[in-house]
This record gives sequence, C-alpha cells and structure tokens, in this order.
Amino acid sequence: MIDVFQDLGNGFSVALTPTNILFAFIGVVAGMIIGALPGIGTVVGVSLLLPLTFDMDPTSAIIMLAAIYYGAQYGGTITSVLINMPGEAATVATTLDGYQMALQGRAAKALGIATIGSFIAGTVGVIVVTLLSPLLTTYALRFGPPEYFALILLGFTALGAVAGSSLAKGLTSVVVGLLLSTVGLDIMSGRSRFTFGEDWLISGFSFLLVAIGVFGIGEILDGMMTPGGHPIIKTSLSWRSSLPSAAEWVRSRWAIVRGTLIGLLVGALPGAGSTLASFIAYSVERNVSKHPKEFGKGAIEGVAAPESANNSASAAAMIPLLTLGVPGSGTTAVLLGGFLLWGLRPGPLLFTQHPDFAWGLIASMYIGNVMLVLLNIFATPLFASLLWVPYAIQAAFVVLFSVVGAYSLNNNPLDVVVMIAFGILGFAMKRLDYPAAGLILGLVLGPLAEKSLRQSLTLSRGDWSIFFTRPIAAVLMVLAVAALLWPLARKALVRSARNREMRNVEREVQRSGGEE
Amino acid sequence: MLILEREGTVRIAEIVAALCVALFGATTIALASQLPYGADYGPGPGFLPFWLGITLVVLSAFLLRDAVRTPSDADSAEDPDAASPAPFFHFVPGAFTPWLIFVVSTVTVSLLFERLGFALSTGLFMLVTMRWIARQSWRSTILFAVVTPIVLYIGFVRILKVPIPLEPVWF
Repeated sequence: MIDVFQDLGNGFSVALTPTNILFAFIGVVAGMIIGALPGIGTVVGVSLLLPLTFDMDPTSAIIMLAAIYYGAQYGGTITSVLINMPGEAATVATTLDGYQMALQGRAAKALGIATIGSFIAGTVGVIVVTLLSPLLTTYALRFGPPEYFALILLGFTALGAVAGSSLAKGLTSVVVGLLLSTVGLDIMSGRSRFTFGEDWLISGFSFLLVAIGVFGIGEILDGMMTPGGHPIIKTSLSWRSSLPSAAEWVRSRWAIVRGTLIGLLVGALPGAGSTLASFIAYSVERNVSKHPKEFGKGAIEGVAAPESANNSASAAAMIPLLTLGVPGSGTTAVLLGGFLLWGLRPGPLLFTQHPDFAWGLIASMYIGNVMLVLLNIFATPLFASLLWVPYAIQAAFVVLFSVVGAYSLNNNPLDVVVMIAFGILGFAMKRLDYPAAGLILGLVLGPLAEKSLRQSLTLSRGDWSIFFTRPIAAVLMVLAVAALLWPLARKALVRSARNREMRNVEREVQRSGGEE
Repeated sequence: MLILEREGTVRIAEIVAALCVALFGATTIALASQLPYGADYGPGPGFLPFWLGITLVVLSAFLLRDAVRTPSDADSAEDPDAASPAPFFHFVPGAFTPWLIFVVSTVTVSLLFERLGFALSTGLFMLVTMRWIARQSWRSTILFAVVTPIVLYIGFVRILKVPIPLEPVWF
C-alpha cells in the first residue's frame, strides 16, 4: 500500500513539471474545443493529434492526450446544454435535462453541476484506477455476452425516462434507432444489410451524423419557427451562478455518488463505455428520485448523474487498457495505438517496466480534472454568454460547423446530405414529440446489444435461459425488467388509486344529494 | 369536483406519422425476410431486423390509436401540465419567410458544399442568413460573409487539419 502512494507521489512529481503542466493545459483546452465542435468527436480529436506526439516524450504525450480526452468530454457537455447538440454519445443523456435547464435560464447551473459531478467522479475514478485495478479487472473478466446483453437492457430502460408522455413514441424512436444500427456490414455473418448495393452504407450510419442532424439541425429548424428562437430566459452570468444552491446540492449529491459508482462498474467493462454508463445512471436516478416527473424538464439530478457516470467511466475505461492491454472504448483504442507508437506495451508489465509513464499518467488524470474545474468556473460564464448572440446567427454557425463536421468524417459529400436528411427527420420528430434521444439510444447501443444477444445464443446453442441461469446476468436481467416495468406499474397504481378516490367522491356526492 | 375537459385534437400529422411508421415496419419485415433468419452458429442477420419490423407495425397501431382518440379525463387529471398539442406548423406571423429561406439555404449549402467549395458555400450561406434572416445591415453581412470562411479555414484546415473541399474557388 505504501508502495502505491510512493509510486503515485513519484507520478505526481513527473506530472507536475512545468512542461507537463503546459501539455495538460493545452490538452484540456484543445479537448474542450474539439468536444464542442459537432462532428469532431473525442476519437477523431485524439487521433488527429496523435501523430503530433510522435516525437514527444511518451509521458508528456500521454498526459496531453489524456487531457484532451477529458476536455473533449466536457466540451460535449457544453454543446449538449447550450444548444441541445451532444458532442459525444456520452453526453446525449445530458441533453435531456441540461438543455431544459438552459431554456429556463439555468444554463450556468447545469454546466456548473456537470463540472462538479465530473470532477468528483473523475477523481474517484482515478483513485479507483490507482488502488482497485486488479479487483475491477477480475470483476470485468466475469462478464461474458449474456452479462453484456443484460447490462445493455438496463441501459435501454433509460427509454422509460426518455419517452416522456407517450411510451409508444419513445419505443418507436428506440426501435428505429436499432434498425438504423443494423444497416451495414454484419460482422458475425459477413453479409451486408440494407445497403442496397451502395458502398458508402457498408459501415452503417455514424452516430455523429445522426446526432448532429437529429439534435442540432432538427433543433434549429424548430427554433427558427419563432423569431428569436426558443425563448431563453437570460440571467446573470457570473461564475457564482454556476454553483448549485443548497437545495440543488442536496438533490444532486447522491446523484453524483450513484452516477460515479455506475460509471466505474460499467466503464471498466471493455466495449461498454461511458455512453451506456450515462444512460443507465440517468435511468437509475429517475427511478429512485423523489421528483421523477421533473426529469426531462430540467431536473438538476438529471444532469448530475449522467455527467458523473461518463467521467468515472472514462477513467475506468483506462483500467482494461492498463492492466490487460485491452482498450475499453474507442478513445482508449486510439491511446493503445499511441502506446505502441511510443514503443510501450500496455499490460501488467507496464507498471513495473515503465513506472514513470504509468504513474505519471494516473497523476495527470487527476491534474487534468483539477484544470477542468478551474477552467470551467471561469469559462462557463463565457460559454453561457454565447446564448446572447442573436439566435439566427447562432443557427447559421451551427449549420456551418455541422456541415464541415459532417464532411470531415469521411471526405464524403454524401455524409452532409445524410446529416441534413436526419435534420429534417429530427425536425419532424421534435414537432410530433418523438424523443430524439431514443433514436440515439437505439443507434448507439444497438450493435453491442445485437452482438451480445447473438453471441449468447450461440454460446447456449439457442437456449434463451442462459440469460437467467448465469448469476450476474440473471441479476441484471431482473433489474432491467423491473426498471422497464416499474414506471408502468407506478402509473397503473396511481391511476387505480385515483379512480378509487373519484368513485368514493361520487358516492359521497350522491349520498349527500340524495339526503337533501 | 370539476375536471376541465380537454378538447380532443386530431392531428393529421400524427396520423401520417403513425402510417409512416407502419410502412417503415412493413418494408423492414419484407427486406429482413430476404436475409437468413438463422445461421449455423445462432441467430442470423435477418433475426433482429425482422422482429424489429414486427414491433414497429405493432407500435404503429398504438400510435394510430393515440392519434385518433380524445384524451380521457383520467389522462388530463394525471398530467395536468401536459400542454395541448400544438399544430405541426405553427408560425408566429412574419416568421415563415425567414424560416423558409433558412431551410432552403441550409439544404442548398449541404448539397453544394463540395461542388462550390467551402469558401463560396460558406460565404453565400452567411450572406443569405445575415441579410435576410438575421436582418443585419449590408456592412455586417459582407463582413460576416468574408470573415467567416477565413476563420473557419484557419481553424479547421490549419489548426485541426480537417479535410475541407477548397476547390474550385480558393486563393
């Protein structure tokens, strides 16, 4: 144990050199900008800057890249809250309440609680990575396809939260999203599905294109119907306004704790990632909340939970990378490439062979967190003030950034057209109250869900009971089914109680009327 | 106890949407049936899309039902803050033309982005938007139309090294 702290101290001394602090700072700022730009996600951002690090000292390079990773997470949050455009799949859950808070003039609060939650979760995440990696790795190794499927089902319960008033519409969005995710090459069989012979559909619909279109463009097309856009109540923008009030803090603090925990458990699983973690955290929070009806209308816990989850998940995603050499997410896969580029082999030996690097990285994750908080306390008012720009001008820039972002994915002008098509779909969905988040939920979780399902059934040779005979999977399945059915059960219970009340009242009225 | 009765509104758009969902579902079923349902190793590529298609058709029935029926008293008592549905196209007077211009220019810039090149399409888009939608003066408009492509160029091409179509009009 003492060893660990000694090593960590060593790591801090490495990370706190002026050069490395500078790199961390550059990384965080660059990451925030990258994360905020639609179409340029973390993976793209990290891979764009990776070649620049070829000549750098590996420790400095990984510090900068990790800082970009964190910064980009936060950048995605900024756009999710301010313009309802998730910069990252992991920040889709944040749009649900964050944007509503912005419309109510509480944008600074939303960003503030996101920062605080992210910081706490990120810090805890780093500590866990430091101390508990072996434990989490053992736990992660017990997750096979049935467990993954059950976990994703748990993620789909966020649908209940996302659906709002009409479950049918919510389900429709998710199912359409799932169908969209099946377009392209089917890895397991090698056949291409629904591509109609078009080559560019082989890789399917990219999340980014759909998200920019449905969320960003759709939102703008809807907003432009009113001159001045959606009426946003403008409030003070001092940094103090981003701190939660006492009441808000009471509501958020357990959300942060739960979100952090969920993020750690889900993020440590390779392939699961911060997106799944954020959706599960949102869903869980709504199910345990005393104010479930406020979710989707600006509940502060609705921002705190997913934001904490996606940060601790990002930290936890490093665990399989560092301990097993297996990347936990797309971004860590790029980081893995970086490791190899610099001649380092990730895995159990990394800590013994290159302690400076490994512990320097962990220390820098902590420093990155601190920097983000400082940066955002001062930058949040600046970002929130962007809302004061006339809506039409905002809209124009969003369109331009989206077009460039969409084009930049593959140098393919068709991608831009696809994005706009989704924009029109998003507009229609918005007018008709079909939740866009549901579409994204299906699109993002679809591939992993289908793969796990098929792998599980292959393992069990077609026996569906495999989901209930394996202990972890069984527990998760029961939780998922319960979470899916609980809101319906609750509604039915409330309705029957109310009907009973009404009948009692009617009887009273009749009786008193009859007596007169 | 008086419960205000809410006017039932039948929205043509909702019905159309429900029918579209049904159509989409049916098409999916048809297309998915052409894919192998099972495989040696387990469910095949057609398995999931087929069932998703069926789900969509079932859902469209619910959607259609919801679109046509009058909301009951129980519903409105339970969810008193559910706003009565707004019509599909709801424009504040004077907002329609700018909106239409915006939609047309957005679609145009997307279609012609590569053809015209980044500078021209960005410049033209800003020109149209600033002048006719944001109602800025000609001076601001020209300023935006010229400066924006330059700024975006520096940001995206120079700093981020993102691929952008520079042809056919560039310096």
